[in-house]
Amino acid sequence: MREKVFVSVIVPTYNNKDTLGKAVASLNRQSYPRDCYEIIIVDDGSTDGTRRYVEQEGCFRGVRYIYQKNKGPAAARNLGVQNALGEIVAFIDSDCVVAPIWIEEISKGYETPRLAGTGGTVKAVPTSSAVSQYCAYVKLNETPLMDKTGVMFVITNNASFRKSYYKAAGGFDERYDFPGGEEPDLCYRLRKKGYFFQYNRDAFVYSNHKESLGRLLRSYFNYGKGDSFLTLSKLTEWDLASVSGLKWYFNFIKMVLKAGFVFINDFRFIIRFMKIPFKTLLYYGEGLGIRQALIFAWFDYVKQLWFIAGIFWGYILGRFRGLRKQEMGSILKYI
Amino acid sequence: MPKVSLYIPCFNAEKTIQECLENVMRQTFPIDEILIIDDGCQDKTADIVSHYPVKLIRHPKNKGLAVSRNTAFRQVRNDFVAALDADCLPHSDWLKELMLCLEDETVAGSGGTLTERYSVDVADKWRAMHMSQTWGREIVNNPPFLYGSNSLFRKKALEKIGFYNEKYRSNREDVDLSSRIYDYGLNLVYNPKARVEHIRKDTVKSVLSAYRSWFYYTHMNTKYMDRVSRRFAVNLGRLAEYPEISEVFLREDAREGNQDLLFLDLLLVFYCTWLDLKQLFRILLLSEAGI
Repeated sequence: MREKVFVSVIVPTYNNKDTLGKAVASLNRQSYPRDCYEIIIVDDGSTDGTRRYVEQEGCFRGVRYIYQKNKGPAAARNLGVQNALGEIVAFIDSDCVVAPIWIEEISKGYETPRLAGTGGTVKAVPTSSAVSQYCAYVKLNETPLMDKTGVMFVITNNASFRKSYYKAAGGFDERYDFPGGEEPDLCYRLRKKGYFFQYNRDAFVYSNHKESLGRLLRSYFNYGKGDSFLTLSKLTEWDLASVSGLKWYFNFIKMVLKAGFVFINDFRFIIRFMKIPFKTLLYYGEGLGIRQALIFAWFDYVKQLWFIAGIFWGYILGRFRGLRKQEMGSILKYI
Repeated sequence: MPKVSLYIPCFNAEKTIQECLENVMRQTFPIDEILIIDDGCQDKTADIVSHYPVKLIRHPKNKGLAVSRNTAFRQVRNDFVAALDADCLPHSDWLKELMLCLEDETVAGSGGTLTERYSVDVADKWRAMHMSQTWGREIVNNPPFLYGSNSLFRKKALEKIGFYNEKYRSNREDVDLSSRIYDYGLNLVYNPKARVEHIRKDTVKSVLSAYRSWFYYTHMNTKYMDRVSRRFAVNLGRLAEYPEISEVFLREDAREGNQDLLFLDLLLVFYCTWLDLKQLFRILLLSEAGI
């Protein structure tokens, strides 16, 4: 008889063996009793010899390893959940390090029947690179998104779900084969069923996943794609406070086109570009140096640019994948 | 049973204070003392309040909400201090529900939800949509911040972090306090069962200027508030934020089918920019006068 609820920690990984070892090592050092949780690594078709690394390194003893062909993080997580033994499934990314009390904190509160999941705090660790300093300063994705309706969605580099609800909702939509948009999608479906999410501040995860500008831009491109996918799958009630909806955008374009403007496609880009000096002033006023303020404002701009590019690309991609015809909870194979 | 003090900061609140106090008297949880902080009222608030068993503390002139709150914290005799706005009517279980959250020692404060009584007129509807002071229907541990309109704090916890920052005159002092509590390592809890009814009535002008003054301190760092260059930078830089806010609101309203609010969302950009430009002008003039 175990004294605590059994938790399955699922770590999807893709070509990231350098930090995977650290992540698993931190998962081995937990205050939670070791016989009450398991670690599952889902290898999403890595080509950098992750399999050999896992077999050789000592810290992976007792860790379950599952391999799949490269299908994206959503599919990897679903595969992990299919193989999980615990009532609660917790997710981190392979480039994170967790605090020693992480499992204890992330598995709290599940006595409440309608609780579907918990999100924790993701601390971006600033290094010498300007992008990581920027991420730490603006607290990028630090907490789950909350608004007047409560916690809207949890971010899967630090989250846990109740497995039964996760499966009943159909898991992550595997058409999201990139990291972005899949967690709002699942959380929206769960919330629509009447379940809710909570935030646990003490469930800390440390991450320096956005070291370079390329990685920041790529993830914003993916968020843009995900935003388009969300819009296309007719989740019209869904709204992200910081995110621009495609549908609204097109309506807006139509409206202004009627008014007679021609070069409207550049409209937003120009507006965003004009924001750079204003943003610089804001960062300066908040107390940064003028040079750093300029760099951060520039990051804000390119980030938005790639986000909008992602929206367009995601729209084309989504049409090809037939996201228009999606029915709610059509992925019933897990039930 | 622990003793609780309640304070109500008032500034020209003669229209609502009576109803508010009537509701306070009907609380199921016993209140040890009630403080009314008269922040330089010009109206009959003091007369109305004198009919009730409360302690009245007067500021000779208007000093702002943050100062009023700190005055209250200096005067109370209990560790548990509840705060209520003069235009809020607490449900009879309000204080009981807030106290339930504070059983844990690490919880420094708790807050409840706020519903609007008036939400038919355009301005009131807009306030209910975009300035709603709530975090949903479920208990939230450590929400982004606790709204100051109805909250309960431990005085000992606030002593450690130095009470409210008085540089925030009447807005955003609650956000600042919450963030400092989190930095100290203490927790806050939002309890949706602690309900309060807001009986504020707005005009288009007042609701937009209320939004603007709420937004005013968002990017302000109080450390640099006295420096003209930094302050000027924030005031100017903020102007580019209004179109974005307006866009978010427009989308929200279009989705919810509130066509009547779309005009107000657009108006927000122009009105707030106008108010800000006036303010900028004033800062420039003041700095010139200083030289």
